Amino acid sequence: MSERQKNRKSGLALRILLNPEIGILIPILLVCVVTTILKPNFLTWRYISSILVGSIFIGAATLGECLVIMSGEIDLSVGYNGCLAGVVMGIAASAWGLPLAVCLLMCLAAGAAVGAVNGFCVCQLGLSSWITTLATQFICQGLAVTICQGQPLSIMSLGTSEFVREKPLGLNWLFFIFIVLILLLDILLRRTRYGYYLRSVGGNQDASIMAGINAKRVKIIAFVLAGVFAAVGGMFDVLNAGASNSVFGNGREFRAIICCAIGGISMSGGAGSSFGVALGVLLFHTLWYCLRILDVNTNLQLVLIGLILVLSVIMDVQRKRLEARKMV
Amino acid sequence: MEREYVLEAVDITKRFPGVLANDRVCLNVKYGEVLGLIGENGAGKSTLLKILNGIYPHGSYEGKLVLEGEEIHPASTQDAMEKGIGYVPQEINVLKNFSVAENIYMSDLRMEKLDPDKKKKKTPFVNFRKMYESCELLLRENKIELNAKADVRKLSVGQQQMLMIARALATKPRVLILDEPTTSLSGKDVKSLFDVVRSLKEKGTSIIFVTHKLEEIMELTDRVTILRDGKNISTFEKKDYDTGKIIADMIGRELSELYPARKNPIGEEVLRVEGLTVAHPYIANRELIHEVSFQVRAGEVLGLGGLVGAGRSEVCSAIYGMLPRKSGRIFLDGKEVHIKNTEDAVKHGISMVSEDRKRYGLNFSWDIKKNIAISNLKAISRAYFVSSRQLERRVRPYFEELRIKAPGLGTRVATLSGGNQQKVVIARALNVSPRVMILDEPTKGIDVGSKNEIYQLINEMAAQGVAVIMISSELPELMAMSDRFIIMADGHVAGELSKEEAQESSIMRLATKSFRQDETGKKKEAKK
Repeated sequence: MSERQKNRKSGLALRILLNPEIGILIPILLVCVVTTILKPNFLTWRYISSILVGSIFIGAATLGECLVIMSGEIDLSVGYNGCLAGVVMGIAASAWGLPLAVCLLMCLAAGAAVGAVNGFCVCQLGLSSWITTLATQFICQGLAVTICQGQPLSIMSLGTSEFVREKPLGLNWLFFIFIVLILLLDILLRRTRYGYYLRSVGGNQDASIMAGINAKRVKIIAFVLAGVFAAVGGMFDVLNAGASNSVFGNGREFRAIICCAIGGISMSGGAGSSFGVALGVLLFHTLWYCLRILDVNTNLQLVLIGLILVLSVIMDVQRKRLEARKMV
Repeated sequence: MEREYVLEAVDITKRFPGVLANDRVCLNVKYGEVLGLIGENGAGKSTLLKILNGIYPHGSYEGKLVLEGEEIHPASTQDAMEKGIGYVPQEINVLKNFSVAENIYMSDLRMEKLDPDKKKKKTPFVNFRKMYESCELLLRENKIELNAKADVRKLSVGQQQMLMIARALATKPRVLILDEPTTSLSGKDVKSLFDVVRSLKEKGTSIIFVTHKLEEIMELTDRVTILRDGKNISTFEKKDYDTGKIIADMIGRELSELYPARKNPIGEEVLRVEGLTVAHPYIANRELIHEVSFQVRAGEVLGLGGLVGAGRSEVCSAIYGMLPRKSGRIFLDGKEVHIKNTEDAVKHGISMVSEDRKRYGLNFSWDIKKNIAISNLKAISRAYFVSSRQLERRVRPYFEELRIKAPGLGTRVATLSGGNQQKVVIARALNVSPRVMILDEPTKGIDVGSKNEIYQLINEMAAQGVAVIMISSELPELMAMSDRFIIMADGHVAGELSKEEAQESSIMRLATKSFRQDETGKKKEAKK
């Protein structure tokens, strides 16, 4: 009797903990509290704004990654896809002297093109998305290095340095662009037909096809959008650094996947929210940033980040189990 | 006192949300008998079996199980098996990459369970010699004609069924449960299955034989217990067998009540299919369906009959754009349409309900309203934006008209009973306002009451002038519901029957016609 009551109580606590958004906020606060104890001047706007601004690079790629994961596939190419897009922008600015708008468009188009190749291979040729995107990631890396020849490509000619250095509210404009992207993604997922189709295909692809949905097209669009978002991430890198470089985006795909997992995107597809992903990025970046300012050994940082990933996946599984139990 | 029963299930009650799947069910199995367990889909047979074999562990239901006078509490299938209850599931599940013997002894590859007294050193290696020896012995003892070393991939469906029985027998069960073992077997395989069952019985193994085919009950079983709506209805001894009584107890009403009459006029031709041919996806020069042609008219229900595997579902999938066509043309209202995928089919007013509700039916993480709405978001969106208010307004009439039993539109479909899930799938298919509705086994695995409601729905569709194509493996259902019949065999149209011509015998004669398209036959034809 008492055991059952105990179960119910812990069930309630668990339920709050397992709410996707709250479930992420708690560890973020925890990390901040621990950091403040160890480094009392942590809770100042200087550090916080630095965390927020620093999270947008992985963040942009993660927004795209979550679309592909929600469709039931995976994209391992977002890291070097963004890098290549940035390099395209760099060469357009430095070697060809093209105007700003054209350079930005070329950057996004490069990302979209790689995404389209991914989508074509996965949906039309029926290849596994793991293999396909792993291959395109190598191709992108190779192309980026070949174009750069190991040298950074300056984009001074575009005159964007002033814009990037401005600090509205102590943040920067790129951060606000990122916020707009989060809101747009939220509208896309929850309000548009495409958002419904995407979640439907990720939830049960065969049933979606039976309902008259063109699942291939839905997935191809997800890959293309992932490419565009990856390119935005690459663009942020280049604008921020004032030059493109073939080492940007290294390992970003795995970080993006981790952020998705932390952010409550179901790894089997179908479920997730834009804000969840944004919080996932925030948790990941906060953790990483705090470990750095606390001078934690770099290798230990990796261990801790790995542990966080495992923990988030455990939460994901538990969440599903809880839901299943609620149903019976 | 000598015990009469080897296994007794006493007052078993199992609840699911909204459904009482088993309501104080009792089942007694005598020593060395074949007990038939019969009942319609949804009668509670599978639930009872899952309790007997431990899929629903002790504690998740009320009532008790007594095996040879001792109460048992199976906690898992493994546990039930060790206690002496063997189970052969309905669906074939064998490991295709292994040999027969490996399949049988997969849980005991070191062959330790067979001689527990010889406590050998534990080794990580498979004891192949012993495995094949005991496998051959097992097969020989039970008169199962399989080669222990045979590659399972190359076995026929019937042989795979035998393999599953052999696997259950390897643990030397006292009671063996066969769950609809003949569903996918041909006549010859059924006969050899019956022989195996009889020889088991002679050796004293009790068998629970689950089926919903009456003739099998008549031929094979010593007693039969009938379940309906989760309750025990009756048990007959062999000498009291009476087809009429058994059927009446099974369905609980007269047949005429079950199938509502339809009296709407039949209109013009809506859909015509000419020479539909679909190639086999993996085997060259083999066709799933060959030159299939037929037409359906407005307000008509066309019954697609034939045995399982005759290509009925493939015809429907090809029309609906799920299978690529090799050749063949599809006409709607006399005009040819090009359907490359399901999106095209829906655009042209064709809708389909698949037989596999789990895989092709529902998104189980969603609620009822989204599952219904997803097929026609265009109707409820402005530009690309979906209006959640309109979604609710669009879906509610279907929810109410189909009498989906659920607390509300926001109920998750996973919590619904099979019949109600099926109604959600049909609602989704109706949501596109179709002119042609393809129903592939629309009443598979649902209870009698829901079946009746679905028949009424079919009648309503027909009355509204929808052309309905219906596949059903249940002959009485197909015969009662269809206006006209296309019978398929081996991927060909074996013949067309009008309502008057359609008898069980005439349908079966066409369904068993042979169009064997083996390569030698083809070459001969080519030479001519």
